[in-house]
Amino acid sequence: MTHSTMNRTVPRLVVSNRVPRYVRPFVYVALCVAALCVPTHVATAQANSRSAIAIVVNPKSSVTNLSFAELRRIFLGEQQFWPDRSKVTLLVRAPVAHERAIVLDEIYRMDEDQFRQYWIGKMFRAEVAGGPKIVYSSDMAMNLVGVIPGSITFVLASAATGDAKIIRIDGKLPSDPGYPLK
Amino acid sequence: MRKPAWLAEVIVQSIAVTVSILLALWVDQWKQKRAARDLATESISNFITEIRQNKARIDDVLPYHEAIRSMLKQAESSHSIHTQAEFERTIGIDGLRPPSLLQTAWQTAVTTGALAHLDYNTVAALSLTYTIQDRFREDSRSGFQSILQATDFKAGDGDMAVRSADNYLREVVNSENDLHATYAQAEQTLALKLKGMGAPAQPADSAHPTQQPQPTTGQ
Repeated sequence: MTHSTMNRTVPRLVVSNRVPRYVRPFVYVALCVAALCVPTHVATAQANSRSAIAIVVNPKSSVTNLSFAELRRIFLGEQQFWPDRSKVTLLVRAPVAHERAIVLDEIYRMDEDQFRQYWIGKMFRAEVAGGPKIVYSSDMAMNLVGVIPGSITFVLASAATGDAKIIRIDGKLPSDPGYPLK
Repeated sequence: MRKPAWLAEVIVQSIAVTVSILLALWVDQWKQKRAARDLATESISNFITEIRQNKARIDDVLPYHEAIRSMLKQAESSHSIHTQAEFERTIGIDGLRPPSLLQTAWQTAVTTGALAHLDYNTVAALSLTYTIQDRFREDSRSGFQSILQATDFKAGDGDMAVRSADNYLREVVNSENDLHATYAQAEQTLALKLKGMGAPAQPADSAHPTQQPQPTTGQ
């Protein structure tokens, strides 16, 4: 097989001859960098999906989608009943958990002290019967949300396994781009 | 024989003064009765509010405790808890805490003497309610302490800790159910009493489960 035959049959990464010879190495380097970045982006997207926070509700709940504003109202205890009149039971991870930090930051927009003061104030004003119920692990959260009617919790998307009912936020699941709780 | 003019004047003035004093006494007594009735009405309103809040707190925590109990039973049957870390990760100590219940209305009524203006049956019903509540608090406090002692896991017996927690929580859940029924009965009695006193019906508390659900599009 001659050299000219190989040129015809094997696809080659060839920069147009119109590009000046001294620029071609830079173009090749740029193309290589771009090629390396593609899998990095894919990996980052997968990692984001894993570290996204899934909002999980009791499997018997009829709710499948909430707007982010509705989600905030539920987590802030401003909406205490579901549309079917069942009571909302809020299950929140104990301090130090990564998921809790994200939820405090994204949903509550409070730090730990403000969060504590917020619920004490609500109980003091008799606006709620009790604060969020504490869970100590994703497993505990998933177990409790499975048996407490009207309960809602949050876990890392990777921990929402089994028959977990993950609800959409603004029409998006944790794996979707633009999901608000990442 | 004609009476002197001054005598008639004295008699008239004496009668006027006596009537004025009697009237003043009657007005004072009326004001005191009214103040006592207002105090009694306000006191009963406070009792109803507090009992509704306590009932709502029980309603709030009861499903959580029942769910933790089911997890305890599962852990007991699968023997899956061996260490304190496993216990805390699976059950958590704080989840076993009883709800904090209010008794401000009772203490205020005792302090202000408002109970003296309530009838015997109402005071007896309130006394029974708060006695049961006190007993619940004492029992759950001592039970919780025994759980903390039982979950030191020094002996490496996780099943023992799980069993203790389950026994304790069974008592708590039963007491919560009893207390809930007691609150419902007391609330009904007080509402009837309030109605009998001619006071307007007590509106439902904001944290009470009878609150109407707010509209949401979450379907």
